[in-house]
Amino acid sequence: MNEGLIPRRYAKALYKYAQEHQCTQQLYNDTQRIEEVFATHPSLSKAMGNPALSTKEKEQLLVMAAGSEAHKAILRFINLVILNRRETFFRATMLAYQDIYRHDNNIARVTIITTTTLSDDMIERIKGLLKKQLNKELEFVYEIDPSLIGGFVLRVESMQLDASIQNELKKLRVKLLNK
Amino acid sequence: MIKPNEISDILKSKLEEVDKQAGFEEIGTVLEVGDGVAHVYGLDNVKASELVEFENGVRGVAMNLEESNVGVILLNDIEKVTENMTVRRTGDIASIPVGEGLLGRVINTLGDPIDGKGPIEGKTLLMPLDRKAPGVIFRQPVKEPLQTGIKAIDAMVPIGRGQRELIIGDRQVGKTTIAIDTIINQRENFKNGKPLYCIYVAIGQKASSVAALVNTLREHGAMDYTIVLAANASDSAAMRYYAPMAGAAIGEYFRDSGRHALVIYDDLSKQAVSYREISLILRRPSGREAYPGDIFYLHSRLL
Repeated sequence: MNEGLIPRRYAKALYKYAQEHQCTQQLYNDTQRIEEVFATHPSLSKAMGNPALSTKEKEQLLVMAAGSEAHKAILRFINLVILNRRETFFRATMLAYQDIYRHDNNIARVTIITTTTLSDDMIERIKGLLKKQLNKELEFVYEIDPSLIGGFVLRVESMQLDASIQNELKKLRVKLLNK
Repeated sequence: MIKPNEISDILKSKLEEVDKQAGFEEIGTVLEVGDGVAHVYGLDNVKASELVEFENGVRGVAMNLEESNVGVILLNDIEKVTENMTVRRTGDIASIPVGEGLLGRVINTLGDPIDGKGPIEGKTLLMPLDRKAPGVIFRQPVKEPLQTGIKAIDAMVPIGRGQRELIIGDRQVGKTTIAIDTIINQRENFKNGKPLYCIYVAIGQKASSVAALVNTLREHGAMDYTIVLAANASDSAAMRYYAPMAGAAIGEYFRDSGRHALVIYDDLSKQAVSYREISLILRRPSGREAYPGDIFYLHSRLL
């Protein structure tokens, strides 16, 4: 069986449920929060696949990851996933939900990372440019990361433009090491 | 030997080679990594068996394309890949650099020398590891024998050039010995100026046995026309899995330049075990003795 289909199916079900209850936006925020927890705690994914943990404990972990302000639909969903023993696919399901939501609402996720703070005027100009180019609403994430040294990184969905000094140095390092 | 005053010139030329022009590249994030396989989110347009590169230069091959993630098998430095790393597409498929400089050397699956004799010299050509074989129509009929030098074989079951031959038998009956003897017996052809280049692919063997074997070949002067490709038991499953394909790619190089070559895979059941390992980690459905269903297809492509 192709297991790659499972998260998508669960996510679709969740999205349809959310549409009926008019809470797609809230669930989207919840999934983002949960995904962040998964990203910052890699051991959580491992715990989901751990057969030594009981389903009860796994459910508690997921509820905790969802946070106190989580929508009750997501708690119901956690319950369903645990009941069907599909907790290993939970993170992928969250990501699939985000994909579906963004696709349906014509949203492009854009991340820009720079070393120093950009002026609001500059950010607005970048936003306007991207909006015109992509013809989509933007979900704009702006990060400041001094470790880039200089330049910027622009991510539009799964495409990335890395014009940072850090990347150039990295390329140089790989180049010099591989004869 | 490189002179110290040349080093700065070499460095300078390499600095100039580095591409300063940033372009859009497709990326993904590692969701999960373990046992030599990374599950990656993103890389929406990646193609099957495409080479991908992690942010620290580790390379992998996209093996499983699923709706929710991409299963990437890691070729080297397995333990250096961690969660949340970014992965980028390279647009290439896994290849091995092949050239005349390989003769007499011991290399690994990626084409890097592992015999401690410095880098491979001379011009190299990138040959894809997984290439479709020409169809029956395009092939010449088998019309020339391959002399193994073993009378019993050459008299009773002669082997032709362009043919494949399976060597089966219980352990310790001398399957490897037949292969090695055949390589050593090609010395005569090499001396007569009609060389038959030999590629010995050692899969999942002890590094010490490979070293002993290389010594035997060297003692008999067989390394002049032989390439040993070793993916030892301690190497990653991906390296062992791709080793016969790398061997075939080197053989194809000789074929395409109009020369004869003999490729020996020793042994393919170890490769099957590595493929089983990879397939199980990728959660592919398994069949008898947990081998994946396409194991015979895999071997048919090699031979």
